[in-house]
Amino acid sequence: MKTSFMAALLILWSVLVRAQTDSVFTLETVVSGAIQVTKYQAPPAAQSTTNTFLGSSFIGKVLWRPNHILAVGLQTGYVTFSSEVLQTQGTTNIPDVKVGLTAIPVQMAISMNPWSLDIGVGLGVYVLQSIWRIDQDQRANSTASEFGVHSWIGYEFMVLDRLAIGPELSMHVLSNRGVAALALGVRVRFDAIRY
Amino acid sequence: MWLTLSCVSQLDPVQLPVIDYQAELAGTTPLDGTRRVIVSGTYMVEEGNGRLGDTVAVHFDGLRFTIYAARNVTFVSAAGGAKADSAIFIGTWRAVTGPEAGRLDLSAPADQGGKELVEGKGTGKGLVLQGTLQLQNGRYYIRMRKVSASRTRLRGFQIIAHRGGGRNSERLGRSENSISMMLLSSTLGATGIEIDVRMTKERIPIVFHDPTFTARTVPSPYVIGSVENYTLLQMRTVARLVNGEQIPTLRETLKAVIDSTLLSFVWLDNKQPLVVDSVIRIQQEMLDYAKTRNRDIRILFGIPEDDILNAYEASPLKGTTPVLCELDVDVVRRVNAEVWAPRFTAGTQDALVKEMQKEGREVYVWTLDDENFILQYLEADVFDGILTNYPTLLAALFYTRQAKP
Repeated sequence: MKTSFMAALLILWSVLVRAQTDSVFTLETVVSGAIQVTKYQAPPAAQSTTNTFLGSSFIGKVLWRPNHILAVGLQTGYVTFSSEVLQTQGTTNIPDVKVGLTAIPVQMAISMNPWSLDIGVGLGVYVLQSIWRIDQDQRANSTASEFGVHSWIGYEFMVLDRLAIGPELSMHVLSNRGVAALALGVRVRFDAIRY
Repeated sequence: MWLTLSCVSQLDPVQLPVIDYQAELAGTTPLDGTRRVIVSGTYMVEEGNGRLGDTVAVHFDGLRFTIYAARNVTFVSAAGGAKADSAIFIGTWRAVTGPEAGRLDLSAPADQGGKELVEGKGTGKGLVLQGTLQLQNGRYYIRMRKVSASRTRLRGFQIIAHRGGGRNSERLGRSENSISMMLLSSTLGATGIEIDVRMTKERIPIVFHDPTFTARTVPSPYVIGSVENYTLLQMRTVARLVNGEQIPTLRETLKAVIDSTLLSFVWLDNKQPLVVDSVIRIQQEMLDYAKTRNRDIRILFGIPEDDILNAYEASPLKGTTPVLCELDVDVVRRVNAEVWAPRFTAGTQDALVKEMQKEGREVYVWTLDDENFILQYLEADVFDGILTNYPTLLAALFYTRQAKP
């Protein structure tokens, strides 16, 4: 899947790349916020009643787009994969426990924007944080890093000379953990520096 | 999205047949000790050796009829008994290196040793067991003949299953270091087990190998990172091993082994120096408990690394319980370990092993999984036990090898 996506990206880029007469280098900042549906390969806990959850995704990117379509940069953000209350009475003497999984992606991002589209992929780690809580006194947070991929496609409407806004569909995949999330939201791009 | 999740590797499912033993064995009489000895032994496989190899070992794990075969690392777990003037055994076979499994039906015909077996006469030499082994695409005819009696384990040789039964345990539907795995280990051929001891956040000794929770051991994404980040309560509410079991405490584990298995040896592979005192206390408590249950079992405190050694030597409980040491022989002598456990890569070390044995210590080697290596170490005939991930393979090779002149 990843290989096919990268191959398609490179082919598209080679077709679209073109000579530029007026060199413009841009440092872009992009923020996006989305509602997402997370699907676990199996219910995330023995007491979970579902393996599909509603969550959210907020991503920020800084991309350097030299004098052609392809841009490279870094991205991070905050992703909520799932949050639920587990009924644990029976296995323990406590009634229920709040649990959840969030992540901070730290990834290299590659993006291209043919026509008014923006297509990209982020490769790198997700710093996962698990949350376990009964009350303020009884809680546990633990972190671990997992490799993951974030891909997106967006459409941009220029609303000002340096500002574009539009819808974005994106996907987070942590294959080692059996987690995939499909997010639909809004992106805002601001060209911070042009030279 | 669902396509991308297929990146997560899955082992092929194992389909074990469902057998209604009570109904199918109605009218049979369970074999007593004398008759179980008659059945036990080394058998030459006259037909069906494509599945089981030329030689197999037949044993009883309590009342369970078991077969250990080196070919495809196959074990049989069955029940049976005498019926009229023959005997029947029904159960399941598993090739632990793959997903292959199925039903096995065997009988000891009256005119081929079955009658003598039912009467409790003779040694069973020449006894024939024949029947079918079910495969996905049909049935396989099997016929095997007993060629020698089952011998007692020389010097009490220990077949020690790694991580409570073997790292291949995911194919058995039971997780490594789980109590359910340990309950199965003697059916796999093990006479003892090695288990890994870590600690929770509040320093309760638990049985778990890795320092962190990963999808390999605990699939829940709500339990990640260092094991020590979680209290026992937190683990109990959310963490389940890959086959759904709870992570057991050391005390629960040893109690289950004493109460519900025939294992005679437990090797505590200590991973964290901070719980050395707690582990020794539980070890002593469980050794005392075993005495009250008339269980002949040895539980050894393992010293695998220098940090555990240092903690042990600093402990006020040093010397109060039996010890197994993996370090060099000087340390073994210093801590007066009952067992020295060198790594197999050091070779058979015949002279050093004999020196240790002269001092009254036993020597177990770890971890041997390859058939050729196991044979090489068995032929050296100096060790008192071998740690393996494939107790079935070791049992098959050990018991059938004894049958040779």
